[in-house]
Order: sequence, then structure tokens, then C-alpha cells
Amino acid sequence: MTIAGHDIVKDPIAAKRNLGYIPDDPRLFDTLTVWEHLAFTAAAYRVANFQAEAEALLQSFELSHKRDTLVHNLSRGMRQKVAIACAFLHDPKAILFDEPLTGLDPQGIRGIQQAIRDRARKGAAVIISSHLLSLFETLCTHVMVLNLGQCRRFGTMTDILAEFGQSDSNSALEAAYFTITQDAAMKA
Amino acid sequence: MRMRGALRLRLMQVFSLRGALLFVVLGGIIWLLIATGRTVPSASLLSGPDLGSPEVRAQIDIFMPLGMLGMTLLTVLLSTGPSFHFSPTEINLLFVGPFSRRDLLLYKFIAYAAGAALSAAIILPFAQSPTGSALFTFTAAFLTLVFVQLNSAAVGMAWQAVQGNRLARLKWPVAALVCALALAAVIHAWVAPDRSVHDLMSDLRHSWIGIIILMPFIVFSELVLVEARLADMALWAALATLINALLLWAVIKLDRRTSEVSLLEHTRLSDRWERMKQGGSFWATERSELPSIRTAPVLWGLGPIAWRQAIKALRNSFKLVAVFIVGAACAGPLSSMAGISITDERGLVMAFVFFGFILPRSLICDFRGDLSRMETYKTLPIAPWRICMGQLVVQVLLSYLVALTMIVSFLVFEDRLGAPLALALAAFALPFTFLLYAVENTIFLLFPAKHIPMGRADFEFLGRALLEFILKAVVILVALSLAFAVGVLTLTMLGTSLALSGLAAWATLALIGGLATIVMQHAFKRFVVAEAFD
Repeated sequence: MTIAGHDIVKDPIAAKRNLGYIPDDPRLFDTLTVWEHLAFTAAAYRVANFQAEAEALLQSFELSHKRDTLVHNLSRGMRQKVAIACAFLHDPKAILFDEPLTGLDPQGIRGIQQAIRDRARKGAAVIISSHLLSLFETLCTHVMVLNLGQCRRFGTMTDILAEFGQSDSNSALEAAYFTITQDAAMKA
Repeated sequence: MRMRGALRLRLMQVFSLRGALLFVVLGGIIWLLIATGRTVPSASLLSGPDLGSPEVRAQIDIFMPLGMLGMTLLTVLLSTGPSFHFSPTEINLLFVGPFSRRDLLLYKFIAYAAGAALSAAIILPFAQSPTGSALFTFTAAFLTLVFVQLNSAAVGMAWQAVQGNRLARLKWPVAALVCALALAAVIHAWVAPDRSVHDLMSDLRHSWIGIIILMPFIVFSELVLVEARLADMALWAALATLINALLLWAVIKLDRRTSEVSLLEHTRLSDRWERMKQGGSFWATERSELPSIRTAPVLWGLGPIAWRQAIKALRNSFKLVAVFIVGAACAGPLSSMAGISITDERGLVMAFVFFGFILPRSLICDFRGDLSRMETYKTLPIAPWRICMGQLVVQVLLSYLVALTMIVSFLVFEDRLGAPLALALAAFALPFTFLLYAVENTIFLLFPAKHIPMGRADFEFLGRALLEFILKAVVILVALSLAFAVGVLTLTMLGTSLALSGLAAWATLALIGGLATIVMQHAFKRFVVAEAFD
């Protein structure tokens, strides 16, 4: 497996330098402030002159007024935003989100969805893992359905919806998901 | 139900293979220490004072009531709220249930009393009463522990109840006056040739005003010192129980006037415990905002990790480091007064227990405080050995600072420690500390677990702590023996100066430290975040 052309096993440092990872429950350093998290990330990823980019990220995630706040005083949604700002700071080529919208308010959800679109538009590969199927419908171009650790289906959103997404009551992707996983369960 | 749950948890621990092994190891070591202490008293580290000796009895008679009074005054000065604390789970489950406030306080008191009973049972083997009666010792320890808890709660609540009153403004002037009087008395005792501080305190304790002020506390010192007669024991125990009952009644009455403060205190303490579970310190800063440091150093990848640990030490453990440094500075004069030298057997064992067990368990600025953040370290584009070195730097330097302070303190106050030996100790302390924390972190990375016990008598935690200490002690002793052997070999073969053989021994110890870091790096690489207990 390669990330931005770097083998994750043979050249893990270069591969990680091009990867941004946001876990579902970001465990930040409780003794650092929001700004210090960005400074830490900049030093770890060797981002020179990070201040301007960091300011822009704080602005876009509405964290500017929280720059000197110790992160253990932030709400869960705010901590999620700090983790995303840190992951975006080094401009990764691949970004891995695990349940990115957990614990966010409607405004936060909209902001993060917009940020994901912006990164994808700039050329980053964004991979999202979630149980919220509506999130995929609004954001994703490709879908992989995983069930009991097995890949049940991988394809473009259009293909999957065209093949399985026929439903009167539920969302098309939800219908597709249940059809795919129930088929797999019956075959098993 | 809570007690049943706690008991079930302990039984589950003991009946699991790992828990049973750790329990057996813990029990075996405690038995060994007690047995060794009884057969060879001079070898005992854990045996308490001999309460039968007249000197110790006289000291308890004077200092126990005065110490309890001091604790009460400190509670008034420093307490920020009542000390009957409810956890967030208890608040969520019990506060919405059909229980009155009195029921909740009684429930909490029963929980405290159960804890005090368990603590008294643990104290039992180490502090037998002069009669040798386990029942007497247990009763005295149990009632005293309950008193300490209730007294601190009642005094804290009483003080909170008068907050905002004009009387409360007198707090600091009165404290200053008491301190000034105490200081004047100490100076008087120091200047007068035939008086000592001990004599002064003895006079205060036995004066009629001292007896009146210390009356409730004297009951507990008499309970501890009670002779063989059952009637005496029953009398003092009945008085102690009466005092505890009165304090409990006062707590229930005062609680009505301090509910708001009590809730705020619960929130504050819950936040602190939550932070401790995340690897922070109980004494960490409670400020929510601080001026941010603008940039972090890179330093070949070591920089950001060491920078983050340095900030953690500054904001989370500053008071703890200060306490250790002051303690280390006092080690010289105290050991000199006690007649213990750093170069004799007892002094060396005590120093090893302090640096090998107490300090690493209290001051944590490395991987051990970052169990829940291992995912972050694994995703960083920094070579594992650099991450390991970055984690060790601050921890090693802080511990080395404590060691240096202690060496200087011994150099100043102890005649037997000359400058050359102190210099050698200072030189060897650095690779020793480095090796100690490399081993400590390697054990943690191979067998990760949080460094906080789950309540009292967490057998798994205690057994693990002892096993880790034994393993560390074995590695350190082997490393020191190897370094010593290389030093002796160098001296025998080259037959030149002691400095050259010392240098060879130092280099050997440093080399073993380097090898330990390589093992630590492998342990970090094979660490699987998903398998770590969190």
C-alpha cells in the first residue's frame, strides 16, 4: 500500500508525512493550548512558517478566540475541530476521517463538511469511515460497504445506487446498504 | 450494592489467571517483608514503630494530638469545600433517585467507614499495639481514620458556612498571628540553651490550656496508646465513637448550608480525577487559558515530543517537582539527625526505593502518562527511536535534578560523603536514571496499563507495581554489577588510576542504557493501539 507514492511499510516516515488522520474521539494533549497543538504538529511534520496557515485554519474552524485555551476545557465538537485543524496543517495528500461528525452541532457539521469538500477540491484523497449513511450521500464519490470485516461492495456512488438503491420509504443508500449486507448474511 | 460490586470486581481479578498470579506475588512479598522484619528487626523496612517503648509512647502522646490539630487548622486554611465527595456516576444515579440528602450522606459515610475498615486491616500487620492485640490495634486505627475523615468534613463545612460573614475576613490575619507565635516559640527554644522545640511542644500539650484545646484529639492518642486492660479500651473507644457520632451529626446539619459549594467542589474534583485518568496530575493547573508558546523546536524530531513533555511537567507537575526537590534538599539534614548515612546499607536501600519506586510512580512525564495518546505518536512522521528519546529527555532530566539536589544536600550535611565520592555519585546518577526510565518505559510498552489503582485494594495494580519494581531492580542490579565488574577489570589490567576504571564503569552503564533504549524502541514499534487496555 502506498500513500502519495510512498510505501507504508518500506518508507513509513515519508508515507505518514503525507497522511492526515482524525480519530473518532481525538485524544489531545490536555496541557497544551489550541495554538500549541498547531505548533506541535508543525514541528513534528516539519512545516516551516506555519503561522499564517495556522491562523487561517483557526479562522475557518471558528477557533480564533480559543487559541490560548487549554484543550481539556473545550467541548467535544471543539476538540474535534482542533484535531482536524492539526491534520490539515501539513497539507496531507490523503486524509482519513473516523466518524468525523460525532458530537458536533449543526453549524459544526456544516463547517466540517465544507472543509472536507475544500480539501478534496485541492486534490487530497479523503477517506471517511462512518455509520451515518446520509453523510456519504452528501460527500462521497465512492463507497465501500464493510460487513463483519469483509468488503461486500466497492464502487462509485452512482453505480451502487443504480444497482441497489430502489426504495420508497428510506434513503437510497440506506436501502442499498441493507440489501448488500442482508445478501451477504444469507450467503454466509 | 456498591460494596458488593467492589467485592465482585476484586474476586474477578483474583480468579483471573493474571490477577491470581499478581495476588500471590503481592501476598508473598508482604508476608516475606513481615516475616523478615519479625525475625531480623534491623532488616525490616515495613515494620512500624514499637509502640511498647516508652520513648515512642511519649512521642505519640505529644505529637499525635498536636498533629491532628495542625491538620484541622490546615483544613480551615486550604479547604475549598466540604469533603464528602460524590463521583459523577453517583450524582447521575443517586441524586435523581428517591433519596433524601441525609440518606446520601449516610451512604457516603458508610462507604468511607468501609474504606477506613479496610485501611485499618492493612495497617494491622505493621502497627501492633503494645499488648499485641489485633482487636485493639484495629479498633484504634479504624476509629482514628473515621475521625480524620469526619473532622476534616465537619471543619471544612463549618468554615464554608461562615464564608461571607465578617468572621471569615479574620482567617488570614489569625493564621499569620498563629504562625508568628509558633515562630517566636521556635526561636525562643532555639536561643535558650536548656530548651528544645520538643520540650516546648511537650509543655503545650500538658498545660491546662493545651489539654482543653486538644481534648478531642487526646481521646484518639489515648486510644492508640491504651494498655492491656479491656475496660480502658472500652472507655476510650466509647468516647471516640461518641465524638465521631457528634461529628457525623454536625456534617448532616451543616450540609444544608453548603450544598452549592459542595456541588462546585464535586465538579472540580471530578475534573481533576478525569484528568488523572488521562495521565495528568492531581495538582495540575486549573486555569482554562494560558499564554501560548508560539513555536515548538524540531531538534531532529526529538524536539516536539520533549517540548510537549516539558510543558506538561511545567503545567501539570510543577508543584510535585518542587516538593521532591525540597524533600531531596532536606534529605541530608534529616538523615544526619536520624543517624542514617547515604553510604550505609539502609541509606542505599532507602535511596533505591525512592528513586526506583516512589519518584517514577509519582512524577510521570513519558510514555506512561500517554496511554490514551499512543495513537497520536504512532501516526507521527518521526522515527521511533527519536520519539522514545524525546519521551525520556524531560523525565530523566527532572529525576536527575532531584538526585543532584539530594547529593548536594548529603555533601553539605554529612561528614562521611566527601567531594570526590559526591562527584562520582553525580556522574553515575545520569546513566543510572536514564537506564531506570528506559526499563520503566519498556515494561510499560510491552504490558501497557494505567498507573492509577481502581479504588482501595486493587490487587492487580498492587501486584503489577511490585512485579515491575522487582523486574526493574533485577535489571538495574545486573547493569550496576556489570559496570562495577568492568571497572574492577580495568583497574586490575591497567593498574593505573581509579578515574580510568570509574570512566570504564560509567561508559558500561551508559552503553547498557543505550541498549535498553533500543529494546524500548522495538517495544514501541510492536505496540498495538487497538490491543492496549484503556
